[in-house]
Amino acid sequence: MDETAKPLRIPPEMATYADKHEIFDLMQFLMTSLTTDKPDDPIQYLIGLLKESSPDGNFSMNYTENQLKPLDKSSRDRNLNFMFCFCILQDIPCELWVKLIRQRLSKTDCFQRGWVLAGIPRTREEALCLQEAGVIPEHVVMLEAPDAVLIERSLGKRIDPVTGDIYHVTFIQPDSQEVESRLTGPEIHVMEEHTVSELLKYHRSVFLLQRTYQNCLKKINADQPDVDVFTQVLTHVMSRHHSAALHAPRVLLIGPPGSGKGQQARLIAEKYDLVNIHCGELLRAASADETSVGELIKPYLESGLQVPDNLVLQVLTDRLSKLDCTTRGWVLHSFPRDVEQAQKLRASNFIPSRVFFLEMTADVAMERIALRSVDPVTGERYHSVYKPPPSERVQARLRHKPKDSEGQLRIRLKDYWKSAPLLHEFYPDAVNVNAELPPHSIFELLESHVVRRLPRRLSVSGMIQNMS
Amino acid sequence: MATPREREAADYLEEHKIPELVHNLTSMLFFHRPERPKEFLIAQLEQLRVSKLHSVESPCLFNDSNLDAVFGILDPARQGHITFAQYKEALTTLGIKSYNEFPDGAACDKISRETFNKEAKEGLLKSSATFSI
Repeated sequence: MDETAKPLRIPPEMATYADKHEIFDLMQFLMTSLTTDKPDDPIQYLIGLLKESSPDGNFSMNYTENQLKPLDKSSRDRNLNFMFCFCILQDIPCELWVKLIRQRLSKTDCFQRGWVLAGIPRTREEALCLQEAGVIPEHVVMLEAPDAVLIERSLGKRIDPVTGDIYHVTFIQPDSQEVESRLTGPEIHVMEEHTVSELLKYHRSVFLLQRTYQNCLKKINADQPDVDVFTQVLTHVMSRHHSAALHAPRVLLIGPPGSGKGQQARLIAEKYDLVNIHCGELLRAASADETSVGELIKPYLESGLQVPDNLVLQVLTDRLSKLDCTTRGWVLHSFPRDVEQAQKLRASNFIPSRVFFLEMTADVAMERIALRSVDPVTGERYHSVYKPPPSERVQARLRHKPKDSEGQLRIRLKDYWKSAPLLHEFYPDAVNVNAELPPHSIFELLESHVVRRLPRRLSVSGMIQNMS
Repeated sequence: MATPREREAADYLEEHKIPELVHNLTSMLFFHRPERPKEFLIAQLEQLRVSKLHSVESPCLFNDSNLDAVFGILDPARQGHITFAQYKEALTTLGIKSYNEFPDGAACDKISRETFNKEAKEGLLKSSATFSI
């Protein structure tokens, strides 16, 4: 093909589509299933796999728990969303119950909704049997508590024979008198020696178990009220493992002047190799370029008026659709300034994957900006209090930006706070960051949100049931 | 590729042309961007299966008008033919890996529109028929 003058541009819709539907993970799942099972007719197999798996938009999650006793009410509440849980089994040969489990888990409802296994495996051999059978959990949660607490709990355990709920003499009191009256005590064999011997057996095997699952293991302190334990486990289970998909984050930083957007953008762009786009600089570069758009922008920049939205958007979309932005990702700041600009950005299909609002009070903003200055020779930016210039000579030649003067600053801050609430509404998923913290703390916070995958969304009905 | 298991897996993938299949499916997904990707994939796979059984055309991103457009770009003067080098480049750009190195007219370096269309279609058919016969 002849070399065309138009460079390759990947439409941004593809990136947003891939993120939204998690295409990489889907394809990875298909490939791994194919290489594990190696069917003779891959097309038929793939059709079957796709039909069985959860319908578009749902997810399934799998995890096992290791805990000794007791299995309380909260885990049963969890089951409203998930499939079911196994309780501790007796001494059955390993292969038999692994087969049972495998059979149960391969049914469609487990496949679609996910499952929780509680109490198994207990030893490394059982864990390996499970692995060989192809039962691989996504998260493994280990609930830990000191032995004394466990013994106390098992001694005080009471069971309601009608509903099967588990209560405790001290910790979990039943709600009504009549429930209390029918509670039965622990079964006769659950005496202290038995508990102690079970605990010893558990401690012998737990270390190796940890090693088996060390990639996806999380230890949670069970010596807390069960609601706390439940929320901790739930948040952990909702988080997702790092995906090997192409990571091209699209970050948007919004905040009043002086909130450190430029600095944070620079830090993030350097560390994660993103393209740092400061809207004002982009416009100035465009006007210096002497392109047709640049000519249009020049008079606005010279007279100090705000450049009209459609011109800004044109320059911006031009820059964002270049190949390096698509493959590396971008950080955008000082745009949008108000909701119309945000709407136009969304209409152009360049959707940011993470939005951050850097919040601060007016006083701190004034303080940070009023004392800002630049050294025209080296280009270094200084601040009279936080980063004073090194020598008298440098001090003498420092200049201030006219738009940093107090009067102009007040206007800029007022404009920002006028449009801020609407912008908050427009980006409901944004993360609010306190911009008054030292820059490296803010950077760590932003980092953690950019790098980690967004947590799963639990369905609303599941949440309400779980919280009650 | 050290262990035998890995080799087995690699052989399996080669034999059934899985990488090409996944590549085609992903390109389809990104081009059409359906709201329900799994249903779309099921439909594409069913079509592929039908084409395998009844040797009908398998799903492909390019159609006749695309081929005409490509030829038109290469031959702006409307001479009606393109050079051999252009023909090779065009087929590679379309993603066709194995094509006929000696089409009609290669000797005099003038490949006509019909020959180009024919070779391109055959090549596209082969690259979208991602299954072992």
